[in-house]
Amino acid sequence: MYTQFVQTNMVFPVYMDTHKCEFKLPNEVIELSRLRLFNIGATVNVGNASYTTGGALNLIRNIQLYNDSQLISQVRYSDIWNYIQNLKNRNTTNISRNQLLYGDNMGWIYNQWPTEVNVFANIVAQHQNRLSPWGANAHQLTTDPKTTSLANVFLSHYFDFLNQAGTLDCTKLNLRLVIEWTTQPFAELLFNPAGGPASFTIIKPYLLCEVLSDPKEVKPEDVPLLWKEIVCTVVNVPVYPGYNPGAGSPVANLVQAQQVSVMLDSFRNQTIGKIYIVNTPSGTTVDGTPVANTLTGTNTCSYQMWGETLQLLVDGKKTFTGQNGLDLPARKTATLTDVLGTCNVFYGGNLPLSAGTWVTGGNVIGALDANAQNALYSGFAQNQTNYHSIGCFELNKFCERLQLDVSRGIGVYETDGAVPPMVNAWSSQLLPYSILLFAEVYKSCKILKSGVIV
Amino acid sequence: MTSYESVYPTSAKSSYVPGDLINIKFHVGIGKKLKKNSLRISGKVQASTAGVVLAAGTDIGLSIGAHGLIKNFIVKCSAVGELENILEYPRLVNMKYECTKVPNDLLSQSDCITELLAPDRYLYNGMLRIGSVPSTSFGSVLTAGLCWNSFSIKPVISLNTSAVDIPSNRLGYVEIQLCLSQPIDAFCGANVDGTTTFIITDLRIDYITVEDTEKDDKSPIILTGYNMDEMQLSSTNTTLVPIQPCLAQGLSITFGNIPALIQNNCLSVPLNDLQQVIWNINTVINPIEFVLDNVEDVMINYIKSMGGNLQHNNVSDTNYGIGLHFGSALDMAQNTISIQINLQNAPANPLRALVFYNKVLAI
Repeated sequence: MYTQFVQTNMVFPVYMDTHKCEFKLPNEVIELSRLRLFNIGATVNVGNASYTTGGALNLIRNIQLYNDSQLISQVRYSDIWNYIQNLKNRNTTNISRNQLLYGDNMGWIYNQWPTEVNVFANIVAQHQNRLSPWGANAHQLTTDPKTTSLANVFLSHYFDFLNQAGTLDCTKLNLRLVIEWTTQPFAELLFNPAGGPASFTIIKPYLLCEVLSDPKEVKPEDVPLLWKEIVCTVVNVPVYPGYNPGAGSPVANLVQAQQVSVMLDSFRNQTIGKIYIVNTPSGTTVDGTPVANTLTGTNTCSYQMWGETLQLLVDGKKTFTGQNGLDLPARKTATLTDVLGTCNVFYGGNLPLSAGTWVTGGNVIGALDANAQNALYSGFAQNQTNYHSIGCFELNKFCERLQLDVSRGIGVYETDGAVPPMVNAWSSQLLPYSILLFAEVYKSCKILKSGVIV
Repeated sequence: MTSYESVYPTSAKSSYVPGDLINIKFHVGIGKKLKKNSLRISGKVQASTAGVVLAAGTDIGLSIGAHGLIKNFIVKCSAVGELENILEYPRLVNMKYECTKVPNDLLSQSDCITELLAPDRYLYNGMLRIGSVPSTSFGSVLTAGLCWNSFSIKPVISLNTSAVDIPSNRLGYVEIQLCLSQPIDAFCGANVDGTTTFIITDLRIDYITVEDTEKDDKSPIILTGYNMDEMQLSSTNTTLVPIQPCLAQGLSITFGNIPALIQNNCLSVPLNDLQQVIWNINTVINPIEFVLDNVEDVMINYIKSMGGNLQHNNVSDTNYGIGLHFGSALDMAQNTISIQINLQNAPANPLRALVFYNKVLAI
């Protein structure tokens, strides 16, 4: 590609702050569509931290490609999207020097076992070396922009439109790239759970464009482009928690699963390829703590999702056999494996551990299932308090109507085993659990002088 | 459209125990195809010792995982007949995994995790038992007790080996018969005893179908499967003569008593003082003698016979079998094969030799 006819241009942002960054692509030229974003990274206020799966690209929360003010394509929650994509990489790939220098992503599957004392902790500590022999050194965020880890990415990672286009005729187009940064102090997917920094500062990125010096050499064809857009939607599946009076008691008898049906209007009348579903139990212990402390004094509690099942109805037809559809954690991991190929899922991803998870033991029906349901779709990124879990399946169909049925129970655990007043307080609190869905939606467009018709 | 199907056993029970015979029958559906490599068996397993939590130091074979719960596998379809009959299925799985994976794979790969495989006994033991963990952390109290592990295994059977999606008319009704293992065959560890057992619930077969929109071109669909024969190795100079009439592309042989092999998590009893393995392939046109007189050559050919990767496997000089990949399919009904194994010393006791025929099927 690097011939005399191609000039490589560095394009710096026309606007940059802690929330947003905007690029304008060169006008009146024809350029290759393999745009590449460099210097994605951040410095932290103190000490060192390391990225979780997805690496520095998790700093990008939303990314949009415009033609003037017309939105051509966007990926919302692109940090989570990127995380899913990076699951496909082996740890050995993610931590390799080549990947660090030239790869699209950084970050690796950090062994997610919690640090609290448990039977696995010491054992897993030995295995961490196997997982990331020098990962922590290679992928660290530091206080110095010169030493902190940086990533780069081809924009086609987000925009399949660019993959299909080959060249971009910017005599017709006025392209703008807008990035919205992750702004939370503790970015959900950003840092490994051991000692996340209090704040971070994003480094100014730049864009690499390859402009054709002799546009006559390659004249873009005016043919319709077909591409897959990543469409994201967030659905709320709130639940009233049930109550569990303490370790050793049957959960299933006390907490009934509650079903929520959601029509996915974003995907109406679309041809859909793969669907990725991400569980975001954003309530967990953060929300639970004040209530628990208020009501139980010195006692502690937590709550946990269990028994979640999922069914997807396409034009009224069930995608999964049976009323409950996708249920066991291993089956959920299996769908992920079958669609994406073998993914990086840390050992024990199907086990109940970590703060916020109760394990009651005894003859609890489906104890592991019931208690490990943050293994919902498996494949995790653990942050300070939460798990994200992922499932994937493919439809490859034109869908007029898409409906998601989710059934799940939320149980409350209290250390002293007392029934009231916890049960009353919790059972009246509707917990705002949500699910993110990403779908590959097939689109076509034509680039005209007057704009882009999608 | 892609559909995710599940089928329960024809004689459904709430739970299954060691030794149960299970029959599962399904039809992919008119106008549909069975998606290639999509067939799975899933369920939940609970292991116990004397009715309580599994004794410490007890686990399922590490590189067998939930596959070890199934002793025998028979696969039939009404359009073709019997596709394969795999006896000692866990042995086959162990051989397959040891030739294609390394322990680190079992630590972080989603396919291994759904099959309850593990890189070492410590981790695995924890998975089956959970364990008693009084924690000072907020809300995290782990209590010893019986636990359930869900699993979803992709069985090493012919239906999962097609390179293309299989139209329903090529299969007709598919029937899969399973025989569950006895605990002594499924578990290993010092504390496996007569009270060690397991139960399985929610057992089912999962598979994926896609719409069949293409005209069937009638060209054969090639599958590969396994049959098993049992022979014996008892002297310094033994000749094995596999005689199953099938179209085989390779043979793989493992030696030893199955519980002992699982107990030691090994592929085969080490053939002490192995001197020579001579393969005689007596084809009608061109008889071939293939002499392997060092362990490295034996190992390399064994790995190749299992479709393994020479750069990525867990085979060692104390953990290997014997095998040969023929390069192309050989009609065992027309040609004979003999394998001469020369040892420095005779085994103390006769060894079982399990011969797995890697056969080619066209449907």
